[in-house]
Amino acid sequence: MTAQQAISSAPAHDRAAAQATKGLSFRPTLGNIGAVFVVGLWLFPVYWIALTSLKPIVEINNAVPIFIFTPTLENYRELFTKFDFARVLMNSLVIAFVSCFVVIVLAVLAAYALARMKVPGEKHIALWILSLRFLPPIAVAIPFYIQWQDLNLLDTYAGLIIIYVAFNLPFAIWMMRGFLADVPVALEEAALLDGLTRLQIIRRIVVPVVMPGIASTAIFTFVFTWNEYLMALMLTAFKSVTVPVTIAKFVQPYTILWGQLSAAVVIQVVPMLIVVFLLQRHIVRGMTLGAVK
Amino acid sequence: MSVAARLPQWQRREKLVALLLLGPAVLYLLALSIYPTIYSLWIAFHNYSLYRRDLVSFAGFDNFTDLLDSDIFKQSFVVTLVFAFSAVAVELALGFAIAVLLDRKMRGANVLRTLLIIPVLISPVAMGLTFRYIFAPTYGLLTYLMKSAHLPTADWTVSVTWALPVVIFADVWQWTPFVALILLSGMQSVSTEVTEAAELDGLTEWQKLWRIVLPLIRPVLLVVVLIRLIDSIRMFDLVFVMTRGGPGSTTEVLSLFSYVTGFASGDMGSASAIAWVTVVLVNILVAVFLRFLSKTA
Amino acid sequence: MTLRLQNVQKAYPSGFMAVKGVDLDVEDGEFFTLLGPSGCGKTTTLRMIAGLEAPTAGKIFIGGNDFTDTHPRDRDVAMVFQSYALYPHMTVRENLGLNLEIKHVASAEIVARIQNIARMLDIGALLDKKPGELSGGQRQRVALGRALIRRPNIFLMDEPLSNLDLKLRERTRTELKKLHETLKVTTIYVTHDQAEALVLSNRIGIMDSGDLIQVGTPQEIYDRPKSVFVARFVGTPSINLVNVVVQNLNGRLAIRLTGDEKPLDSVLLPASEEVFRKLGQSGLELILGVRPEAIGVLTGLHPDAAPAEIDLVEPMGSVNNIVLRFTNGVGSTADGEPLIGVVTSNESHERGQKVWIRVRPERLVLFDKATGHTVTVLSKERWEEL
Repeated sequence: MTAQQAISSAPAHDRAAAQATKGLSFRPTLGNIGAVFVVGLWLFPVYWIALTSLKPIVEINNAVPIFIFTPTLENYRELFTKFDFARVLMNSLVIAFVSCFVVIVLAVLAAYALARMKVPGEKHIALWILSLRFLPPIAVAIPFYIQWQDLNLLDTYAGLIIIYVAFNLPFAIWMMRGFLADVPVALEEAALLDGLTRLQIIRRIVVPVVMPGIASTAIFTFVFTWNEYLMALMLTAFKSVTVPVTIAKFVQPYTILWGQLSAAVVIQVVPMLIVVFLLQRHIVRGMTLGAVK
Repeated sequence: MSVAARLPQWQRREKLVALLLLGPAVLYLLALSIYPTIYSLWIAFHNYSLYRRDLVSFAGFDNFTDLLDSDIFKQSFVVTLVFAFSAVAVELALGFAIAVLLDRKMRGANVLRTLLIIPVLISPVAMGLTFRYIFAPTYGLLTYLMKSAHLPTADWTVSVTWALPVVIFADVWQWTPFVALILLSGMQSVSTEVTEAAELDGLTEWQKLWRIVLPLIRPVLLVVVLIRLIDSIRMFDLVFVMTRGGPGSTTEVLSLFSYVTGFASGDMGSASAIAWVTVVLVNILVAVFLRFLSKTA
Repeated sequence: MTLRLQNVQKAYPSGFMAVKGVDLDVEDGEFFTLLGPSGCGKTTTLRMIAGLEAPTAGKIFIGGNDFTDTHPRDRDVAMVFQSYALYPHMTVRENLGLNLEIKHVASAEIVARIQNIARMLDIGALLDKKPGELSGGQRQRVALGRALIRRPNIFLMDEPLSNLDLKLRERTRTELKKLHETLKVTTIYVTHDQAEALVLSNRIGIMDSGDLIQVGTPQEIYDRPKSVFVARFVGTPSINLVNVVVQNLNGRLAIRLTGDEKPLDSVLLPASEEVFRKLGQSGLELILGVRPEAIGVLTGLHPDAAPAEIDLVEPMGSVNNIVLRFTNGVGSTADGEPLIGVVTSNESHERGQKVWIRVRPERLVLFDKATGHTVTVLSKERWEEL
């Protein structure tokens, strides 16, 4: 059998599913322990920064890093009192959610048209969309800065959202196209015969069935927007500054405010942790889809 | 001779619906990607200073040829390639090893897989600064541990020899899980019948891996490598917060060099030229890879 | 509701003609099957009736009105897909009721119809489950229910039984037939399984490579096939094709096996004048089509019978299939395949046994050697035109 057949003849995660059965036990073999050890060790930097965020400021710059101390929340408190972090957090949340929403709506509709209907020149469109993913952001950062300056869009929500949607739309369309292709056409034909209009079919049949795919795409868009730095750095100043930019600002010319920085990092990472634990299945699906297709 | 397709009216209407669905997204992308791209290219061929926008003039290929005379540019180019290929090579090797390690029937394997996604989702800014903290010369954890073990220590992020390796280390830390997870998925989607047939044929675990599984996941592997290479060449955030391109220009990757040229010196023309060199580099890479990919298909 | 296809064609941009001009008249309440091998165009034809594909030429009339350009939604045609196409995120109840809801049928009416269908198809216990929780057979019944609940004018089915295992398939086949007898909805059924077609249909239309080759009742198709293709497609085991030489012997058709001098005594029968005239055009070398059940396998020497040897005995329960080869240079098959005869399993035969074959005058057909078309058919001890 060909490679393609060998890989796809089994349901995509059959062995992964087998791994997930509860009947399995954890036998302390070398491999099993090694696996746990490696993963645990890999995440060490995450523990360290989380630990650091709970240390009293006095201890942080100590040449001797300590492991035992009385945890304190003073770093976090300082963030919110002295550095207006609540507003920054709000900025990031609003920008991320709005971008996500706009991307999903546009991407689902566009991907549906590409996947289902014979669009003239669709191969060219698809290829062009894919090529946008390879563009170094710095290439378009410059014209955007100049243009946004002229349009008074610097330091606004809209300014960033417009750009983030443009950045994420290509990959979102690409992902959704893959997911939509997996929805059997017969379902839509049955709905057609049942009397639904095309828009009704999309809303009542296709979207519910492809919801896991939408979740994966939404996660990717959210993560990208939440973590994005270059554009936010260039296009924001005070009013709409986002979390990553603010974190970097703690690195000041003569000192680095590690205490507040680590607290800010933790806060920035927490939503990602939530996303991972709630939606890990969708993330893996999304990643593998992006890679294989 | 094909029979002329006389489309019933309802099918013609459906075509209209398709264009309406596709339209907004495409128009949006056209406006926001084609326009800046062309504008950016235009800037690259002009003398364009951010601080004297009234003095814009046509420069032909000057911005590009000036780069060839610039030592910093050449260093930046080399640094970028060294960074990209080293990081991806390590990510591939380590990622593969981890994938093999995690490909086992074990209670909690799923949990481990979930935990491994975390580094991928953390912003490079956050992780870059975390590593900067760990690698800090005087008070960083690593320095402390090395000294305690009486091992020689270095200035890490401010050292000329160690700055780039440290940045590579941070990138590897963040992206190896990505490679590992994709390879793991690829490995696990190989049909069990194929691996069972291999077992019956007498292959050992190791042989199964090298001679059966690896060739089957080769397309996935190549795509992952391509994606990582492209993203590494475009990298900006990590190096910006960790070393700012220093010390000297030992970690000044192309994206950073472009940024500094544009926003510190204000020379947007050159900055654009540098950015476009990066674009060309990426496209060459993609072309090479696609040819490679189609040859092995 | 009657259905008429008038010169319906489907050509693809590459030039490939999936359906090459089909003319068909289906009567109200009739169960009509489109039967043929994969790729013959039967599913494409069905989809054109549904409106899921547009014919590149020709017209489709439902109840006498031209529906060729009408949207599938407005044709009042219901379809059961091969994959059932049940909406996975909806319960069975919601699946059943969706089309009624879209057409703004009153909710009391919807509830009543769902109960009715549930009783008729015995799916009452499944109403609140989702398709993913059902077995193949259950899903198939829900798919049927979804189509029937609309009380459509025309009922289309695309190989609905092909995903079921054998026993379930046979049981469902019987249920389908009973259902049709009760409801009497005009049904167009697509399958490649000739047994299904024979059991279920009022009439069958055989298709091959885009052409509708023959239309008739199951018995007509079986007894009076228009060509070798049709004869071979319908009937298990397949019809035997024997090379023969024919001759007019005093108004009777004498049939001789190759290598034999005497004509077969058992089938020396009168033929009509038109037949003899046609024979004059076709030449004297023809192919005789003999159904396995018309081959007599004799153990004792018989003067009229042809000698043969048994290659294989296939036990089938109540009957045995005997695979035979002509011997002694007398007789040959047209396709090189061995002969198959059917005997009751009470008789015992074994491999290598030398026997004698006698051809019974039942359902014999003579085919033109060059074109494969039927020249004449044996009916009530007389050779006739088709």
